[in-house]
Amino acid sequence: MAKDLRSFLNGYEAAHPESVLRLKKEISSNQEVTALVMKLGKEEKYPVLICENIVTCAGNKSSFPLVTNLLASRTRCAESIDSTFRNMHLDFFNKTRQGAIKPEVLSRAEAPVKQVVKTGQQVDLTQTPALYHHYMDPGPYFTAGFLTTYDPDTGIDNCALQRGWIYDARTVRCYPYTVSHNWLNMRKNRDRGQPTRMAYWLGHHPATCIAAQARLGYPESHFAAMGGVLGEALRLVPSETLGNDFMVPADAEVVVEGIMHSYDLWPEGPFGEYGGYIGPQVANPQFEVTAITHRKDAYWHDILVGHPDNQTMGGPAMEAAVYESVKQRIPSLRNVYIPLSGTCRFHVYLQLENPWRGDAREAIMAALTVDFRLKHAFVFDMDIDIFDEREVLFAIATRSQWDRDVMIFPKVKAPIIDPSATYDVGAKGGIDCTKPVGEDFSELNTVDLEIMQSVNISDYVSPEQFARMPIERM
Amino acid sequence: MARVYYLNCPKCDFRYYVGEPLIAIPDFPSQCPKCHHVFQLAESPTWKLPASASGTMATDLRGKPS
Repeated sequence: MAKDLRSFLNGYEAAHPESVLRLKKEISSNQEVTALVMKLGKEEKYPVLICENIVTCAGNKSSFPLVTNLLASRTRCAESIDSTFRNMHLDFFNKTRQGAIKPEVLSRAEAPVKQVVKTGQQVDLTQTPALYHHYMDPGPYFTAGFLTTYDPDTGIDNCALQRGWIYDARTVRCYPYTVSHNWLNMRKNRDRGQPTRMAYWLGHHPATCIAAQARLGYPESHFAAMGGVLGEALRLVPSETLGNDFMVPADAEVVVEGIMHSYDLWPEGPFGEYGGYIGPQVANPQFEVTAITHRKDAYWHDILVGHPDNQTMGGPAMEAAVYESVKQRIPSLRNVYIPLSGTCRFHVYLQLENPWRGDAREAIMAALTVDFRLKHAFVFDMDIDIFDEREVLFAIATRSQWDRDVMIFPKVKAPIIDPSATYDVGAKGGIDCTKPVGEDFSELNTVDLEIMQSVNISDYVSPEQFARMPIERM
Repeated sequence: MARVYYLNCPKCDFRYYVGEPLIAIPDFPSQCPKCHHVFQLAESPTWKLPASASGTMATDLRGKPS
């Protein structure tokens, strides 16, 4: 049986019933879901949220249940790709780079996503439970829709998580960011005076969604990379209205097909962005929806952009890219972590084992050139747990002197969603928090190893008393 | 961040912002995210064209390939 969203949910809910919240109570798609997830997050709770009775922005009860917060937990994301919280950079790298699997093609009759097919006037996207996420948004958006286009020269696919405002029943205004590969495909079509065929697919196994974030060359198939992470060939099926050469994932929950006839621009946004701030209204193109296909009992997948659901899923792909690039130059690199505190985009923590002189600063320079969104790099020794930000901040406090250990690179490319950047230009920097190579350095407060290993809390405190002790975040 | 410029919708008075890439396109309208009224920026009672709006931002799909 092919891996898909429902196979994951069934297995995950059986193993972790406490981490799946099935909400039967009626809930509005107008910001109410966002508010609930934000309040759960404030309590450091990141369950998968399945809303079975959701009221659409048009005021009707949706026939689709909604799944959101699926990717908010790093532990859950790791489990979905058969990895662990700490090994995602390495496992993601290995699976996408060394284990890409060529997709296979099903007939339309075999494809679950073709169980219901609506074309032309039958399509009404306003009846979907697409969410209105934040107060300044202009309406409901595709946020878990992977916008797919094909390179007109090679026929190679590209998928990217790019937002789409459901403007009316059959019009979507999308944001193909100007350095994205989808935009390159659209630009080629525009220059040849031809339309762009495109589709959103949404609702698939989390591994597929995480893999679609892979940093690949252009043009390079995301479908093959997804298969690598999924551990099996991604199953594809020809589209309904875009031609037999336009393939979409056969095991998605929903596919929305469309054609961008012109490249005129329209007002789009404001929209709450992945950096945690509301991005301004900008000018973007729109496409006409030609078909929607879905399963009979489809889940509508939403990703809460600018919250852990969206931020966490992007981390592993970038960690893998950093690992690949930095490891080639700095063999002492052991671990890479891109934490949620920097929206899983802006901060990167690097851990070196027995670095040689200059390794840390070289690693900072190498890491910061991997992706324009990486803004701050921090380098640590193996005795600092880079996955624990209390230890990270401790090392910054006690192992760096900023006149000696800080590197600043002004006037370089920056993501426009960073509100502190000057449009797309900003500064990057790094701090070497490693101990000086070849010099004596003070030891951490600790006790003899055998004593530390012999002390178990449960020998001194009952499980009940331990569970009752308040947790204090300091 | 694309610098943000606040304005109020001339129809419903909803306050929101547009970005530099939008105002860089001559005569490009805004659309109120609340009531969806389409209008020229100058129609907003609170709009003031910023001196820094240089018109250098991308108009990628309409203009020449960048």
